[in-house]
Amino acid sequence: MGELFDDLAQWEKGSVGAEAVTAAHPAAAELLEMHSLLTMLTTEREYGGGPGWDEVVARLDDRAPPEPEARRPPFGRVIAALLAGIVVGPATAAAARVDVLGHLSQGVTHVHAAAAGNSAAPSAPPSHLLPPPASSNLKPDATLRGGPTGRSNAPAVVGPSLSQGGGEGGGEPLPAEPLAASADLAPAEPEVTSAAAAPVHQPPAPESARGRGAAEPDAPAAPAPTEPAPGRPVEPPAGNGPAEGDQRPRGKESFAGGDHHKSHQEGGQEGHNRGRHTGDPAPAGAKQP
Amino acid sequence: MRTTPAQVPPSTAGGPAARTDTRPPAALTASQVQELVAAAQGGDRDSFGMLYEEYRRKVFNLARFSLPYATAEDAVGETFVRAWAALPKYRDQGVPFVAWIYGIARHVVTDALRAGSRVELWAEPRLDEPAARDHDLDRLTLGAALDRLSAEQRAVIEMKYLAGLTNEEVGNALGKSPGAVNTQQWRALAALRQILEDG
Repeated sequence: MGELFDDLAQWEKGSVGAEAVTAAHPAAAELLEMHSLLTMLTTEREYGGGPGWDEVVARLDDRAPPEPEARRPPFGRVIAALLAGIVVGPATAAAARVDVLGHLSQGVTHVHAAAAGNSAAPSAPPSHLLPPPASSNLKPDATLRGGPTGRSNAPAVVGPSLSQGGGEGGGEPLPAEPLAASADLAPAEPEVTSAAAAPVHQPPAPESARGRGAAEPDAPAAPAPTEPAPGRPVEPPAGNGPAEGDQRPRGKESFAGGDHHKSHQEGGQEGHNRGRHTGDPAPAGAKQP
Repeated sequence: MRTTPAQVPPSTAGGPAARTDTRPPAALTASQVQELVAAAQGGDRDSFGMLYEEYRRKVFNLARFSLPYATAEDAVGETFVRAWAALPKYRDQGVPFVAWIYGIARHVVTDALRAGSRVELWAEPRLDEPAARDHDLDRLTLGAALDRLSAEQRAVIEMKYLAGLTNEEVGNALGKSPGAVNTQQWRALAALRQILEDG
């Protein structure tokens, strides 16, 4: 067989004639016929048209890559979308979050509140929703439960646990309407006040309260106007968390000072871990060991 | 001596007339191609346009074996648009520029097939003449058989018959010796014949 190929190679080079090859190798005739058929079919006689170079150049112009600046969502537009309560995709929301954190220090909470459809939240929260006293060493993440990977947009139906729940945290912003409805319902639940009156040492609510779907109905309208003292951990009101579950970046901004940031992160991770392993709703503000 | 492949009828296979050089008359020499490529890499679209005129028929032939006529034409433009975009990455390392173009065209054809063009494969409203239709059906049949070859055998056949490369050039493109390419070529032809006979 190898000899056949060698002879065919010689034939290709013109060293030997086809007759000699086919005489020595009967199978060579079929191969040469196949060769000729393929040669005929690959002729270019048919092709007379096709796109001209001008047309190809036009495609090149159409596909000019955008400038890097053009790929980035305009900061103003993203903020406007958030303020309007428009549900944006995770990528856009993430980009907006980065932009917000990069440009704002105090207005972050308001932006997220608006994104959660809670733009009508009162500037001064009810007294039972106010943070605990300054002596409190309650970890600020107690009510900012939920890990960084949760999705607060999953549970449109809210229940008592909403006052505590951070759900699994950080997903896309919730639609405005369900959140507004849940916000209206939340104050009627007894867990709200019990949670707010809970001892400052009370650890985070049971895991079940932070289970999947326990999205916080309200945006953190309270922390911003409280003007925390420097270094003092600020406890946002229970059940008044934002729809966004990923609280850590915002916590950095809204609760800056002292070492509570560390505990905030720890609590966020803790809540995240717990929330991932539980699913049954439990009464918010339940007693903790 | 260089004969045009179209001048070789199948019936002459095995005879002296079957000794064909599958390479069509080249308008550009290798050095000219290199110069044009270098100019195009510098942003000269006119130079790339000359390369386009040089190779677009080869690309069309490749695409036409698997795609309808109109889609194959689109594939030609798409191939060179992609080639232009990727041209800064091209490095002359002994592999003919047409082999590089061939690689891009292969991807374009594959994408077109994935996009569902195959369902229109036999719809050829453009072909009115029976002879042309038969010719085209043969080509499409052969194209389908080519798809059943191994990737390497198909590459050898396409580079040799469609891109018009020599064994040495194909060997440079595939990292093989010219003798190995020759062996692959004839084995691929034998496999093609077997596939066609088996239907």
